Amino acid sequence: MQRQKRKVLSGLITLTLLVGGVVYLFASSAGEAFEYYKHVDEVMANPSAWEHKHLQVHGFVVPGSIKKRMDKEHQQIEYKFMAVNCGKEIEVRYSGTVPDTFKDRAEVVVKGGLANGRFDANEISAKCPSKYQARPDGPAATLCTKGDVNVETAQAVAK
Amino acid sequence: MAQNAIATLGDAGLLMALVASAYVIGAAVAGARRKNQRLVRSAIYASYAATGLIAFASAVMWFAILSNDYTIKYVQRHSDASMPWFYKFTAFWGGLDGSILWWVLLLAVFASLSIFINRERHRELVPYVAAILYVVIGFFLFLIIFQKRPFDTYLTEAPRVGKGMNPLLQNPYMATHPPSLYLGFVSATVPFAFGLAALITGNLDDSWLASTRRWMIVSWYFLSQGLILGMLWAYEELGWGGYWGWDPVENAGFLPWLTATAFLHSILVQERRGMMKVWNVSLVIVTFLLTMLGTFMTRSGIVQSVHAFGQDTTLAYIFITFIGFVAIFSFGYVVYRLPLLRSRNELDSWLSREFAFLLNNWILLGCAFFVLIATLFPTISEWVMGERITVGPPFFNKWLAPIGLVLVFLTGVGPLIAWRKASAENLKTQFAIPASTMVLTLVVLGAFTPLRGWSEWHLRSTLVRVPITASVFCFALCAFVVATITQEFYRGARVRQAHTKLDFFTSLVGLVARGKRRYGGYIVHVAIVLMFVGFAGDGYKKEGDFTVEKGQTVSVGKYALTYQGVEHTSASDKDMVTATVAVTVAGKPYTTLHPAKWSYRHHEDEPPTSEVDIKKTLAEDLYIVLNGVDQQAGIANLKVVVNPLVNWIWLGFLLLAFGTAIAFMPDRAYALAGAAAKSDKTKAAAAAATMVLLMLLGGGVARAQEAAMARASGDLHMPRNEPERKLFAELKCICGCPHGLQECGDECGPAPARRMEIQQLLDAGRTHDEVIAFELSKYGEEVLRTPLDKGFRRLVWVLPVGALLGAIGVLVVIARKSSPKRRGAGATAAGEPTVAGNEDYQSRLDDELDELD
Repeated sequence: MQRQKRKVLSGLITLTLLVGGVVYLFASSAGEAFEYYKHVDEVMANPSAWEHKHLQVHGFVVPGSIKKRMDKEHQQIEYKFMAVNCGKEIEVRYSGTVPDTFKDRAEVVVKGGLANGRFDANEISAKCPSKYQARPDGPAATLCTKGDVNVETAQAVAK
Repeated sequence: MAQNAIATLGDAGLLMALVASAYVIGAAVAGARRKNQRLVRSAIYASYAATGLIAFASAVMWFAILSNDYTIKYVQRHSDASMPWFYKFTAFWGGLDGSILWWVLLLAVFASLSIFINRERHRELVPYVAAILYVVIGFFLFLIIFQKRPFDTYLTEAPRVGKGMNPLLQNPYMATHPPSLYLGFVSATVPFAFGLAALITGNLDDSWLASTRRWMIVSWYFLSQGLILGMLWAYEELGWGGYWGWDPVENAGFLPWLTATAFLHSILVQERRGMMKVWNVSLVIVTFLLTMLGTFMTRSGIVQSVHAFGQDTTLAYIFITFIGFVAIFSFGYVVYRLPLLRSRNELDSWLSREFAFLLNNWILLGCAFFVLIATLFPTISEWVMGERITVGPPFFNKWLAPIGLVLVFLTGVGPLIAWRKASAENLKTQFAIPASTMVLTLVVLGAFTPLRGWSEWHLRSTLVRVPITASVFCFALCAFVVATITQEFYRGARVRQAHTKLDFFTSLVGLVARGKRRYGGYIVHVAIVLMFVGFAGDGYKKEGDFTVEKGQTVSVGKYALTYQGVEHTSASDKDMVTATVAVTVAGKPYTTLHPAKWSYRHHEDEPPTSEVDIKKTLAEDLYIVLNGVDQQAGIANLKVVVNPLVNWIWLGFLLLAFGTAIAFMPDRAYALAGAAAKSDKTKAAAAAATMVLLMLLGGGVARAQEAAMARASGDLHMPRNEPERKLFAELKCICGCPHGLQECGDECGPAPARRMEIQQLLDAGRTHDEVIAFELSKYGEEVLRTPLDKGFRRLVWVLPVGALLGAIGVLVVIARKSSPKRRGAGATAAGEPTVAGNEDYQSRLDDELDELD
């Protein structure tokens, strides 16, 4: 009986710790390390709702929109470009080092915050050269990801 | 049409393999249930046939790639004619469809190998092992026949030119990192098959553990290697100064590593004390499920990652269904067999080795669970709350750093604490020295760590500010572990020395030879500790971004860096902008670094790649990236990072490989000296095959180049005499063709001009070495056909290949020795005690004796 009780007790403790841990994770999602993952069009549908939140915004670099400035007054190179998803665009500003894959039409995720309708990024990640899929080659209007599925590549895959 | 015949052959091979797999499953299970040996044997033969067919289909694919058959879509999308053959070879697994075919190929080879090795030894288990393995193989075959078809052809006119591989991917890491990870993932299927077979048959004694231990070591090792290669790749090629980002794909490789580690430890407890049986079966199942989950995560689009592997919802559903089914089936059996999995002994005390192992496993599993939830958090939060919320590196580091420290502590405690119950006496004799070492380290380092404000000393990798004392604790614990292991080696050798009356060193070697598993494991522990030292260095990282004029000096840490301008040079495939940065320390010249940006001419739509330059020392790395140059304004932008202790990570891994090799060796290799004649032949054959393979691969890597060839005209300046021909033969043709400079004809633009230049140098009286040095300074070390003995780069490809061949060699040796005929002759020849008559009993006895600690 003792052994049984001990087993049940340890099982209950484990379960409580696990569930408690996961609940704690959710509850503390107001913290710094947690960021909302949105697409550009989702954010631009209601920009003011997203101000002052930690965001990771996913989109594509609008061809021809990358502007870069390097001058003696700034110790980091400054970048300005438009990110688009399903037709909605947002201006992104960033200073620092960009990944090698950052270019026109690149799929990017920018981390930072929204302020005055503009996105101030403290980090840019661009997707690795597509190992498993051909990069979308169509016009800018086709740069569109809904939910998890990139609409254009889904069609390409289906072909 | 001849070309489409190739695709049809490939498809046919796969389809027949699927049919054969179905037969294997049916015949094996039926044969096992009806105790029909012939049926089981036919299933085994069918399994070899299935593997053969899959190998055939793979050969077809390689043939299509190497012969530039662009009518097959997969070949056209991932390869092109101008790629060196070595990278074409790797294009096999470069795309989604091919990567699944690669998975199937590896799994089929492992399946057949494990069935062959164990066909006599585990007569009851083998049929179910075969069935389970071929269910998994069948699943993947189903995927590539009906979903992601690698042999699909273009219905209309095929493109004339291949798309080829992005130059960012054409480096030795691309050739070694994915295959290594795949080897790790795929080999975890074999222990799973044995575990599940043991559950199904009810044969839950320790025999199933004996066969799976080595497979799990193989899996664990290749996962470790794959993870390290990925880290090295990120660090050296990608230019962000770090090596791990807690990206979902990285985590996918880390998760099974954690559970495999747990398994390798709890196996010891089951063997010694008959405890943790439920743990062991569950861990093999979980490890396999995690490998499936990993491959699912990277292909389905369910998590967002910088590794763009594609999104396919149908594939996602198929995977989830399969994983769910396997999980329910396997754990269902665990529950059903719980009575047979009861422990033979109980936990006697908290102060015992059993408890240390138990705690170790809980922590490892807990880490795995934590990383899994955090990785899937966006998906879960979207489900629960409608919003995708991601979790970043600060979160992972904050929680896993202290847990890692506890694990390091256990690494020191485990080997020394007694089984069952540690007495005060035991604790004193075992831990006196290590504990004092730890305290001493703490005091010494603590004295040198300034208690200045947190602003200057905070962990760069986290947003949360943790004082530097965390790193100091890490060092103290590392010292503790090293002390415990040194003590173990020393005391063990001393005891042996007392018995054998030989010198200390011989005793030490003998000690390790007789306890390869234990002492190999200890070496691996030291290796992990070294890696933790490397990780702890991250707390002292320093960074800076600078816009500089020519001649301007900036400083980071103790380094003064002077930007001296850029140089524009060209190779036939790329234009290079190389900066020169002179570095001094305390006024004295230290080094000159050359970060660069390369623009590939045939990939104009890609931005220039950053070529990082690093000055590596044991103490730290000085790492520079050229972000950009503005010629007109005369300025450049540099990113400088100082990474203390980072090289301990890579060195630690080398030691890990060594320790694993020791732990992996079969005991019989040492014991049966009498059967030397026969095993010599095997060894010679294995060695010859190894050398041939190594030569082929070595030659391939040495020739690995990017881009296509240029046209040239005019006098070709071919070598005028033999010494000249030899000199040219040492240099590579930089246009990407596999020839040496002495052979390149007019299809390679700059070759004649280069030859002329060298000839002029020779005429002017320069020596052979001066010419080589000149070529090196002009084109970098890639221009040499034999890689420079910069141990680092060479190890990147030698080690993985060596490890794989070594593992295969050992497995082949074991396979040969598992053949009953040979063992019968060998055992008597060596005069080993044999049990008259019963082969099976003899082999089981041998196994038991082998596995003794």
